[in-house]
Amino acid sequence: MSSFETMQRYYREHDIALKKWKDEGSKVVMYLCANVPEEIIHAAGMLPVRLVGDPLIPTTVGDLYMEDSYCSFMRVIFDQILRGNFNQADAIVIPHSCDAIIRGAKYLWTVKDMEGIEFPDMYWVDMPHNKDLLAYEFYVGRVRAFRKEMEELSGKTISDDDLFQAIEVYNKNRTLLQRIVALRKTDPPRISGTETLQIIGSGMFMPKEEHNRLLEELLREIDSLPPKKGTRLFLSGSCLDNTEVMEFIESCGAVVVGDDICTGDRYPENLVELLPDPVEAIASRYLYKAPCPRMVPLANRIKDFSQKVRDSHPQGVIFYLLRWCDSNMWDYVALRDELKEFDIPHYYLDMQEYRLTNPESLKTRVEALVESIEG
Amino acid sequence: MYVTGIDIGSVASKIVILDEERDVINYVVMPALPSEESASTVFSKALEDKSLSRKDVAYIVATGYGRVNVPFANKMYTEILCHAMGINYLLPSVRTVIDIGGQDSKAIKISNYGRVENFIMNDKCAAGTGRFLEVMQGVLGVEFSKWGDLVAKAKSTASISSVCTVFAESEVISKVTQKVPLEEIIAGVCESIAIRVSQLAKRLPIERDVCLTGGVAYNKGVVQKLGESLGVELLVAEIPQSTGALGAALMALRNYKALKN
Amino acid sequence: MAQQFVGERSIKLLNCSRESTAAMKQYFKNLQAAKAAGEPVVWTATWEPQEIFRVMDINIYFMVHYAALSAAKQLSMRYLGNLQEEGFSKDICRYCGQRLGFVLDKNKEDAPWGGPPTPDLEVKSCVDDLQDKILEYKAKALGFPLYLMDRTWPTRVSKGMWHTWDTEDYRLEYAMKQYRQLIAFLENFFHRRLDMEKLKEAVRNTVEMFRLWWEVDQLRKTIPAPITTADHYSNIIPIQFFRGTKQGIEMLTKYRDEVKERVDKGLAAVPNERIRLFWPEIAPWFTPGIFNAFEDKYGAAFVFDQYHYPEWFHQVDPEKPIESLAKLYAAPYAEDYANAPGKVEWTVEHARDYSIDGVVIMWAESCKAFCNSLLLMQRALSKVGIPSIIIKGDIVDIRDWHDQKIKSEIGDFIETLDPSRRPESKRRATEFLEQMGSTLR
Repeated sequence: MSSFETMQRYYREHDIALKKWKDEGSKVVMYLCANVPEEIIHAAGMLPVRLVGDPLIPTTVGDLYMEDSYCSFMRVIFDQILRGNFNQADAIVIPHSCDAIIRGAKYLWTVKDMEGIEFPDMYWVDMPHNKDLLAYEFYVGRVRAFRKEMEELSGKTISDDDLFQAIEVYNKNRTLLQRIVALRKTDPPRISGTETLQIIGSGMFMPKEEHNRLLEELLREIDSLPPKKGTRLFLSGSCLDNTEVMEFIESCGAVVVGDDICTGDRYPENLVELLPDPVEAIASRYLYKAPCPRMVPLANRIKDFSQKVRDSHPQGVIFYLLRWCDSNMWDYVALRDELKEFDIPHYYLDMQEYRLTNPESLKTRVEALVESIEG
Repeated sequence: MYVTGIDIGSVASKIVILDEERDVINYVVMPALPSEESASTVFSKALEDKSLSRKDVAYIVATGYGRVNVPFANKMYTEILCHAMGINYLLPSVRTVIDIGGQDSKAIKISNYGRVENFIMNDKCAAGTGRFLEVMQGVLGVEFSKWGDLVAKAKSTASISSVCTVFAESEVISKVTQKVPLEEIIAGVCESIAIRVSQLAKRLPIERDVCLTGGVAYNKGVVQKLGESLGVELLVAEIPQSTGALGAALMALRNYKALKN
Repeated sequence: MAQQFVGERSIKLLNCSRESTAAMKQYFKNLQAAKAAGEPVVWTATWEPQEIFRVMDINIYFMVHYAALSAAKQLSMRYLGNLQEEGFSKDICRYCGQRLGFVLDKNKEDAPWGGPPTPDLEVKSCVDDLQDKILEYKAKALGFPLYLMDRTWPTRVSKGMWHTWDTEDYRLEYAMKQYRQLIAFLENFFHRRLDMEKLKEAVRNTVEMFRLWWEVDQLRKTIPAPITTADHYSNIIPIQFFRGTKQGIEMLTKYRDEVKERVDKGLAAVPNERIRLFWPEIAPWFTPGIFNAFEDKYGAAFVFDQYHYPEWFHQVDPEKPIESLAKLYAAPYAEDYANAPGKVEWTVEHARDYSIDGVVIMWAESCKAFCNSLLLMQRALSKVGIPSIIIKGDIVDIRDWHDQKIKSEIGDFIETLDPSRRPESKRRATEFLEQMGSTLR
């Protein structure tokens, strides 16, 4: 099996490495969202695995406790946690990311307490909204506290050396992934949006050392991947933790050459810069990295969006927002206005279900956007 | 030779046949669910009417919700593009097209050549679509053809403020129980859909001339209220249900001519 | 244009309820005069350290009040329409969004009360994903700077969390640092010094205001209720908008006195009170009359509601003013109060303490910051045998308020309620609260 096929398999099945680690008696920590400092988990000798939903399973248990007007992504995660789908994990880490995520964590606590439903222990990592000096000092404290918690969980001391080693592995991973991401932007692109999600995403379900090895192999074979055809589109909006939507968009005569989502281009951005204190180094990277829509100020996001669009040179932009994605709903107007500088068309889709329930509707919109570009 | 445009909508199949001089030879609107069969049936009907056969048709373009169900089409385009082309043919001064269909509504910004510059669709919510009006007609029992006169007669407009069709239906029923004059209720229903649709359209933003197309354009009550809501004199496309099929036929002609050369 | 639904005003029994709106109006006029005279004006939120601004003679205003006022003047639809035309989704938060809709309005001649003066600065803490973004748009549109602070989130859950200020030290320290930084900034920006002794006094005033509010809340436990939500909501003006001031103390003292008088005289707000209801969500500001709508027909009184504060508020130490402010506004309270499990706990606790027969939960879809954990609240209430109903509505948007339908649903709900179940539900509520927090790490 080629390295790419291996990655696709890990991405599809999620739990290959998890099962192996558990069988070997090692610990697995599942985390939600790119705002969790994974290096800490890695340095504790535990395997970080990303929590993702499953578009094929309708929500059931979760619907008893979560009202309809809730982020469609977190709703799926909430439901699956309550169903015990992640009970093999030794812990679940949830950052203070967007409201839906952190409030969902509070719902989980409450349900556990009131209903006695079992699922792994949760750890919450707070994160400031702004990035000034006080926020930075605060966040360094949080990452230090997280290190202690992971030490307790793993039963192993995390030395500074362990942290530096983890940083090295993760930085290498980011560097390799950045090269992959660059291959989306060439004209024509060598890698599609769907493939990007699979390549980047597969690393969230295996040890990063292994992912690095596979990436190096892939980069050696990259010329064997055929160039992609289609109208160049940029995708902005809510997190996509599976390829359903991306694949569908790319089946409408388009190829997605760039994005600003946390499971795509944004994931490997910003290396950890080495500082004498590895905790400060990690905290810096996670706080100052390319902004998640939940961060303030909006002005930062506008700048970052503009740069990403510039780097991808797309012919059009699609904004794809999940249901009740507040951060993105509010950012949209500012980002749309920023696009005027590029003079390219866009289409705005909000309140989308986590599952692609109405593909015809999406098809018409993407095709119409493509038609208006191609003339 | 002739060319054909077929628009397979969610509630009706429409077809237009053009000759090489860009003249409309025939058009047919057939209520049907989108399927291969309805596409075939409407095609055959349109040909029969003018004693034509399939081999007289050189190029076929399909559009609409069910465009993938037209296996005999040479090419497919979205209804966005096709409505734009169709309106540009009928009303060249139009720069904003509003289409209220059975299940969705759209606003399209077009250039003077009929090119799509921007568009917005609503297909999540029945409140701005033909469905809303059907539900209300079901309650009130008045044919759409009479709505224009009734709205014109109304001394005031009842308020139907619900954003949801189901709740709006309850509001209408309660107004009937309260013996609010029928014309005022109908004016309220028209205003309600007009507000939804104009809010959608204003996001484009609006540029004159503005025209209304789609099956709902036959409803003069809606036309009046939508014009008021937008603050413009609203043009109405001739053959409003068929503008998509017309645009598809125009694309068919364009492609056919390109092939010939 | 169609005749829209016009909301109903509430019926106020107390003099101070009627006077409080006048007081707010006067405050607003003073604000406009201050602006005209070149004095500093700052927009901020109610859950920020108002006291700091007061003692520095910086005039403050809260756009949340303007949202409620615009709703009461039936202008929400227009302001929300402005947002949609600008290109925002129709599903954005309407309560917070409406303020931006007002700022974007092209014709401000009919702005309620003449419109708020444009501030020199807006100061706000980041409490959720959206409010700060809205502020950025507003600040850009009106051309004033924005000063953003931050609120932290708990990293643990414990029993009865919302009852205590007790929070992790690092959260308190961060909050205090931010407040010191804020003070230094304001001193530089407005060229004046903050007098720490005055700040202590302002904190003492606030503490006294919370103590008075607490007293009223205890009096409201009386059966039959001396006042209902209708009166209570008129009196939130001092506690929300006049904190730290002597005026605030005077207004709340009057409030306490009037309520106490009614209790002493055995006066009931609803003379034939049979059913006691609880409205734990934010009010539909455009139609506060809903709180009186079930009194005549069903003898049903809304005896308790959302604006309640725990006892520890009046136990903070004014001699440590910055620590007090940090505890009140930036440490645990807001997150525990507005979210599960804190929200679930206080819903059950108050339902017990106020002898509630039924809880009416308004679901305002677009507001998730406050309007959340509704199914969890319902579940908890059903476990203790207290019926509840969820009705769809909105805080400011009349389009989501189907008055007849809502009244008919609540009416039907009331008819199912049974006051004889009170002792049993109280017992079960106590059991439930003891259980809460017992299974957590």
